[in-house]
Amino acid sequence: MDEQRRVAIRVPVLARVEGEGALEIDVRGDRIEALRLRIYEPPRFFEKFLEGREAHEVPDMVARICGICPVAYQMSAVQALERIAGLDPGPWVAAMRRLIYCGEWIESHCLHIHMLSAPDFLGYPGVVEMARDHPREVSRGLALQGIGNALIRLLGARSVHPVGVRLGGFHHAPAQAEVAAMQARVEAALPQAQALLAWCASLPFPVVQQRFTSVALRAAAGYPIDGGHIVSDAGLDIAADEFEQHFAEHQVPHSTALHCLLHGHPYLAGPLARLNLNIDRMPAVVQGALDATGLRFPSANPYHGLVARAAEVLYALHEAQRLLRDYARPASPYADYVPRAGSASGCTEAPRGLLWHRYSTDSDGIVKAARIVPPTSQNQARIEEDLRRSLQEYGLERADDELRALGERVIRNYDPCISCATHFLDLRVRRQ
Amino acid sequence: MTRLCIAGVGSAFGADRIGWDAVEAVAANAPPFSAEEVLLRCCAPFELPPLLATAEAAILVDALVGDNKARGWLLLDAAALAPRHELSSHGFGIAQALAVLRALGRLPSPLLLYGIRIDDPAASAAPPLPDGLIAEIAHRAARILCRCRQAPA
Repeated sequence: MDEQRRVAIRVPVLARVEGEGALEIDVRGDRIEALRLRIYEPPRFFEKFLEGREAHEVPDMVARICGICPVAYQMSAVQALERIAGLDPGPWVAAMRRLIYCGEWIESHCLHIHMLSAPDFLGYPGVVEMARDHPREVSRGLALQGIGNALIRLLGARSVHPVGVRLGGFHHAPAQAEVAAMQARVEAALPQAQALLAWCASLPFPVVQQRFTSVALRAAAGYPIDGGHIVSDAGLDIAADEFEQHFAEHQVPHSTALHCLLHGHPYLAGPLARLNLNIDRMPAVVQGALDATGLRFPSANPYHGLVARAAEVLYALHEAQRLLRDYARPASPYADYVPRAGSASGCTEAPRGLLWHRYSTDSDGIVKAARIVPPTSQNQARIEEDLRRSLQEYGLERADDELRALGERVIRNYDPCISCATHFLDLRVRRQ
Repeated sequence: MTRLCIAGVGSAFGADRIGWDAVEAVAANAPPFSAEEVLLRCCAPFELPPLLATAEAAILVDALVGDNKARGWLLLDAAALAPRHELSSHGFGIAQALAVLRALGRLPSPLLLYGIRIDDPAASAAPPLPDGLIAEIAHRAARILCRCRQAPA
């Protein structure tokens, strides 16, 4: 390669994204001089908006942060605020929170698998083209996504920015007949989810092995969704309240989203990290389906995140079926919240990974401080690390279009909230 | 299979929620539809494919930035929308959703789109719904239902 060859790849607008971002790569000779996943969307200041608001307003406000994973924001928030108040809403609320969360995992994962990521592995520019050749698989994905949306609606009244969640529980408990109908729908979808997992595992993933640290929740029992310790495969094992002692966010000039590091290093959050750290917590039926794919977890191939998503769809459906089967309408769908002064954190597993919140309230329940660390912030440094390694191993001498396509695929594979993406358009290449 | 899905498309934010306002107004003020036949939903564009894949016919209501001062809304054949037009800030808009359904051969028919004119897409609140819009949607829905009921199974 010509040592003086300089290539500047600019993707100024990451189109079809949940948010606004860009990718910039500067190559000189056989090395990457600079690589930046730029997130230039204006800061949204949600944490500041929350200050001065009453605690009971928080669940509805944080639901507006994301259209695809609003439940996660609500769940981390209510967990933290109820801990301040010393409120335990009881087993019915806990079960229903897990149920609505299952719905979110299903809809978010199915959206990502079918609309965003799978076309990359099958050589299609997008889901529309893939749907022409794979109508059965895409239809199956839509049906599963629809079940996820319906589960959220069952408790949240609507599936985007749901309004059914409140401190202490829910505003409304579904009627037994609604639950029975939902249970039948979930049960009928189980074979579809099993087929989805087999299909995802059969996709022609690049053979990649990378070293990275997986970070996820690990609960006393069961697969982690709504609680547990924060653990890593490097020996971390901490309570949510200890998060700030180990994880630090910092600003980088090229992004309005903070980068979060664990002991100064990038790490992976999300489905692959969860599965890597909790494969033993999957029920036998999901473990059996995973075994049948021939893939082994923990996996060091970042592309196996897609398989982890499919495994979690299957898990979430089984879990939803269990929770719906045991449903009994309570006398009240919530426990009373009595404000108290204090600070506490809450941490749950959003579809894309750890979602950590911390709140301080006064004795009237007025929010004095709020801090939210979303999974996309946590994965940004890891995405850039993966991009560097993947592009370097791929060969920087390749054509710009090939480098761009790989870069886009790597980013999409993480399903970052800024990249609810199918394509990054308007690539501009400047050669010197 | 739902006979007719009436979906407000958008989000909870500002002027973007006018489609949701319209569907909520249909639910509150129009003559009641049978829940067996009609699905009323407020949704984001990315929810449309699974929603419409199970509907025989659909009416979508969304914000439309443009000049249509005469009536305040525009009735479009949604099936004719070109997928190249980005109708959503998140990049997955109505046209993309319909393109997926078209590729699957599962586009509802008829598939109508009421575009409610908004002057300022960045406004912090949705403007009032245009006079006559809810009655128009209800009337159109009744006609579609009538046709669906008469169609051979």
